[in-house]
Amino acid sequence: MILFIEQLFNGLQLGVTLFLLASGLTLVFGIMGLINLSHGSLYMVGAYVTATVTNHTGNFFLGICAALVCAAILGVIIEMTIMRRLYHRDHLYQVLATFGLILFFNESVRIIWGSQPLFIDIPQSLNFTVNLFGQGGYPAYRIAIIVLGIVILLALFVLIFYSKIGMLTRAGSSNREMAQALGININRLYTGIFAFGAVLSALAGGLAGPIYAVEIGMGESVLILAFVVIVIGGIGSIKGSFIAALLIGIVDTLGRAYLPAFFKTFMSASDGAVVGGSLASIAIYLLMAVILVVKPQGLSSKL
Amino acid sequence: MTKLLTAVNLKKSFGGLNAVDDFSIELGKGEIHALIGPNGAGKSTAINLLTGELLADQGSITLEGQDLSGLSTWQRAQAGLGRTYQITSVINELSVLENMLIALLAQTQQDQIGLTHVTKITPLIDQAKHYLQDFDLLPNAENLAGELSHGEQGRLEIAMCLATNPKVLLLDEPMSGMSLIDGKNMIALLHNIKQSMAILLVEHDMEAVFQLADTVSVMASGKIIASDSPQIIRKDPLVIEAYLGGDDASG
Repeated sequence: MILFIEQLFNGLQLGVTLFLLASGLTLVFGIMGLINLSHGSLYMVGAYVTATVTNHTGNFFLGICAALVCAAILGVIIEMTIMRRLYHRDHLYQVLATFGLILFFNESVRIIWGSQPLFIDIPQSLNFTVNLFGQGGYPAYRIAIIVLGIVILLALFVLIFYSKIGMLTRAGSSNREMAQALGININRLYTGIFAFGAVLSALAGGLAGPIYAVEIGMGESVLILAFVVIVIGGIGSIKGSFIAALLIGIVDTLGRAYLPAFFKTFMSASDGAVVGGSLASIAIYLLMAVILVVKPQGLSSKL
Repeated sequence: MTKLLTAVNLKKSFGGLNAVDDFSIELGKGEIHALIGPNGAGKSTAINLLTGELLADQGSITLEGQDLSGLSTWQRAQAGLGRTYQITSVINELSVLENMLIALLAQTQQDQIGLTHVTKITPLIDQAKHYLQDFDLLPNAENLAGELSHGEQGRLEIAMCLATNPKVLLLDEPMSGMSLIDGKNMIALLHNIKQSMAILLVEHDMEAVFQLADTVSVMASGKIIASDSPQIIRKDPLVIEAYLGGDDASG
């Protein structure tokens, strides 16, 4: 039982990381209609900057802050120099250009940091375990990530539905021409949204640093999961992507933990491991297929 | 009459086709200037050139002496150029009240930080409701704009445009698709607001045009072929041949 709860929390933590990544992706896709494959690169850059600053200063939180600032600046530069030219173009151009950015970022990271993975220690202040339901210990750091994810979800809701920026953004995403004719500077709004998405992505990368290895290409594998999340959640929907991210995180984690054991109960140990393992790795795609059959637009069609 | 908007020799061609050629117009305060002409004459293109949604190949646009030529659409809107669309344009996914709030917020974006909690700005909400009251939309305040009738959407669009305090109003076929009653209300409305601004009215409803306009310009094949008072335009043989004649013959 305690193992199950631990796995469930691991799933939640993965889900929250995915949500941070997917929320920026879904905003940019939903509002600007831009497919940004290089979103995962900012996740990677976030992790690298966090690792470097943390290892130099010994302060993880300083590392995270540095990563967020870097991502914001990079986001503004990328939006103004590259993305702005892509909004009116076909998705294929967007895919090509942002794929080019992935290669650019991977090589840049290789030049700056080398090919060896970096590692970050869990910050001292969160390096303890918490008793879950009176038994066993669960790392406080992972719980902190889960809590932070929920806080960010709430903040995003307030921002989108109750702030002036959110309102102008919703106006712009719904009727771009008219918003401009009313005097709203859509370009600046788009730059802001893109940079904001970049910051969330870098935050996800920085937070993932102490849990996974910081290495070149770490953004691509997680980007695929993030795309699955926004498709399940309904493109452009923050609420949908939160639910979908938790679903994906939990299904993926529990699948990997339990499916091999489950198949071993009625198969030979080696066959069970193979079948269960393969099934676990496609579990989220099966989930996506089932959800899209029932709800082709994804879980939620609203922001 | 004070001239507000002056456009001189605007030109726009798409490929080899001159959509708008040598287009010059002056709009004065308190004046309704109607722009008529057959479909494809370039009327909507001309409006888009004025608002900056299309960039003119040549020519200049000034608003109260300020050169607008190099400004983008939102900057021209901030300078005082308001417009409505041929296809009624409101933000369907938001409530009627939110639509009004956005129009009011659009004007304040320079001097207020974006994180202001909108529902806390009661003066703004009062102002929005005031506009809705004036345009007989207050009972629909909480409904989605997309659920309004065509006439109501047209009123909301004009209300939003007026909320941005335009000096010059460019109306692209505001009566199209409206019922007789809605059309009559629109005529009364334009009469009421014209004192405080200059209005360029593109319209196919000739009855409305001759009822409202102080000046009528006629466009054909991208050019203004005549521009004068409604009484004279009515009798201009060139105009009758290019436009009015065809209409009369068909009914």
